[in-house]
Amino acid sequence: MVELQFDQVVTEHYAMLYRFALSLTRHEAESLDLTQQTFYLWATKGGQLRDAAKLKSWLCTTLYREFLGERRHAQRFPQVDISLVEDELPAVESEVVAQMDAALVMAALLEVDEIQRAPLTLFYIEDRSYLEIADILGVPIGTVMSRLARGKQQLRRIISAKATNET
Amino acid sequence: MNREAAKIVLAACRPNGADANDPLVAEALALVQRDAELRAWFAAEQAADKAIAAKLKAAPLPEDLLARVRAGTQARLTVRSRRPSLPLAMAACLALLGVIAALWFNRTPSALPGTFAAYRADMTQFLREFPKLDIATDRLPEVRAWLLQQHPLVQAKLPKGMERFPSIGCRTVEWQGQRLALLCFMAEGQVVHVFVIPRTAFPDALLSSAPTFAKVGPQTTASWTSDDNLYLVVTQADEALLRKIL
Repeated sequence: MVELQFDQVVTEHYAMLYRFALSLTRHEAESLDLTQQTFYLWATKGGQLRDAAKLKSWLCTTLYREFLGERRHAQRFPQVDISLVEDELPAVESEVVAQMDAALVMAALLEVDEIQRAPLTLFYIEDRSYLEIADILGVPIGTVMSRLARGKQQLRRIISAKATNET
Repeated sequence: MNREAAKIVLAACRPNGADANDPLVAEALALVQRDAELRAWFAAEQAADKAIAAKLKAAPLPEDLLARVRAGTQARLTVRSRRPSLPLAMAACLALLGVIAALWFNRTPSALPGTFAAYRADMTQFLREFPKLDIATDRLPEVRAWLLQQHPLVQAKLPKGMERFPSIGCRTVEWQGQRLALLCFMAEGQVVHVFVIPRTAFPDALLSSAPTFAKVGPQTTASWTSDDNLYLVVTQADEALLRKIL
């Protein structure tokens, strides 16, 4: 049984969950709603969680399931075979990114296709491994890799465009 | 593994080096050591990933986000705790009929309007739903600033034990022509509401400076006076929690 206090769990994980929710919904109000619903589910069902170390994954997985349930988009998340990823990632200078406003980079992430935003957010903001992302999103490892590769490609294209517009 | 396959694997490799021991990544990294072009690509890839991750982690959050998350979640939990299952609802209906009958045959005068007992009953009733707040913040100084602005007569002096918990927010409440302040806190996973009203509002109140505890329906209350104010704390938690924080 997890012996964590509700308030402690909220304080430690609200920012992470909100950012993940924002990357999925792109709407502040919807993200807040998803975040609250996830904590609500933890408060009512979190007792089933036996390993406290898995709390973060549990919260991410629950939020993602709620998102899918609300949007009823599950059928719109086709699995992409790894062999389909052919294009190389466009080069984005890390110095260019370093000079950009953080909010602008976040805005770029929110413009990435929905299907790729979730793994990208878990990868960049949550420092999740591809194995953990596969577990949270409930998709095969190859699918995670292809979504990460495609997502990065798209994100860097958008970042480049935003950086160009900014200068 | 060829170069293209290695790039797919390496693209999923976190820039903090945490995946180095993963067998698939280790295989790709071995290829990096032997392939200068792949090595240059991977270095640029990791640098870009590191820069993007740093920026995304630094993206600002809405200022009052924590307070809004807390308040919204607590409101859902409050609503849930009041939503009975069907058998419970049926049992509650039967019990209610019994209570109505008992009250009918043993009628006693309710709290007199304008008295402290009426005030306490009304405030616990008011909190049957989580109230909409005028400002939502987890920072007590902001609550104090708001209090001074909205209620210059109410210089709230909260118990020290309560000040260490994050606030949820506050609002004004109108009660029988009186304007009082409501402050909400989150203490050990429980919402605690504090009503502050000038002591002169209740000539009948014989409250001491030590808290007096009472159960009003499902709510636990504590009340006391301090300086010119009368404090009423209301929570769903038990008396033990209130004794601990007051």
